[in-house]
Amino acid sequence: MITNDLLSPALDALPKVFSLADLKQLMPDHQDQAMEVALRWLESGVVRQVAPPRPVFMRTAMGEPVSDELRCQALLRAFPSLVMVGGSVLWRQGLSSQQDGWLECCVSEANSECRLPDVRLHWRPQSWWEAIRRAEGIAGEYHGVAMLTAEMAVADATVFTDVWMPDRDQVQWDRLSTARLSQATEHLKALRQR
Amino acid sequence: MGTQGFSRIVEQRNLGVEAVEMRIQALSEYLAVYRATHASESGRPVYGRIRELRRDIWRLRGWGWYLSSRQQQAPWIAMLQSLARCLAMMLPVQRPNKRRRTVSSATRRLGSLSLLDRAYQALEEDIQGRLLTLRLAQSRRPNGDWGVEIAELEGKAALLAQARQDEFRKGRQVAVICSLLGAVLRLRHWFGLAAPVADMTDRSQ
Repeated sequence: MITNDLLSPALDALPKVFSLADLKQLMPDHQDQAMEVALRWLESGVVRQVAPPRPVFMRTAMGEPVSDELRCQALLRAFPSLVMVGGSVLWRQGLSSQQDGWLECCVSEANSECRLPDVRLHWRPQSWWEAIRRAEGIAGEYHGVAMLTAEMAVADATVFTDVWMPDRDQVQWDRLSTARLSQATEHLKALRQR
Repeated sequence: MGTQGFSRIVEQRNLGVEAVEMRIQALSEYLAVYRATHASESGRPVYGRIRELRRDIWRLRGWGWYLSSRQQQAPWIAMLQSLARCLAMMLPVQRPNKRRRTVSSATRRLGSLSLLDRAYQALEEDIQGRLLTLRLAQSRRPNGDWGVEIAELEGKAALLAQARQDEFRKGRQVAVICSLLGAVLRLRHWFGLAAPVADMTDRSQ
């Protein structure tokens, strides 16, 4: 036990968000013990698994709010190809006056539990990513997380109906292109029909 | 070789296929998001990154094809292995090149062996993550029936570690097989021929 404690690295030596691979790198001669160390940290509550069973962890501090930047960073480590959708996109692009309660993103894993506060993950088929690319449906990044274009976000919400959207009168529709909206809907409708 | 030894090898190869498929899916999704995010940008860094990602996916597909064909005991496997042995001997030993043009282009390109090792490592970490989740649940609810699932995952992790050791012992041959079969698959794709492995759908173009 004492030997184990001596061998385990200090939690402070790791960034706020880290993976099992990062922990292994800190203890190159005792990589097999990285699992034990991670389990001890999880049991004592000093870290939490971002999205079990993914081996990505976040250091926790009592009462400390989790910033958007940190949430995005943790999500990206767990799901490198996740994309922000729905009302979260409209709010962050300044097209909605109603703020989202949860940060909503899409992943391709069917069973994706997320232990981050105020985050919701939704499943999309693998072909969704290709459809998004073909439709040029990404507008940019928010702390590294790819964001759908406003038109694509509306089309996705209409087709998949599982994400939060602001009230109709809270969205600046005049800033959205009708042509792009119908084009985006066409791209996504094909996926829904499969 | 006993039946147990044989089924162990089969399981190891299945895990190899699983690791490769998981990595192909992850890279394809990442490539789709990367291309869509940088659609408006042009220039060498973006194109270079896209080209490298595609190349990685083709090489992984090549290795996946090799593993599944070996599993099905395809007649051309023995010939391919001999060819890879010969070509591997002809390959020059790589030395660090002081005259590399830029650091970025050098770091971007991943050798076939590193690429495959990363794929196997990703699956290993995935299994370890599942193990951690289960062990944590077990420590919180010791009366639950966790033993069987934990033992199964531990067995899988051990098999995968063994597969990593066994498969990559002859690193240069592995690299030759990856590049050769990756190139064949790419050619087939250009000529509009269907992928020889059913589940390797093309999403990189």
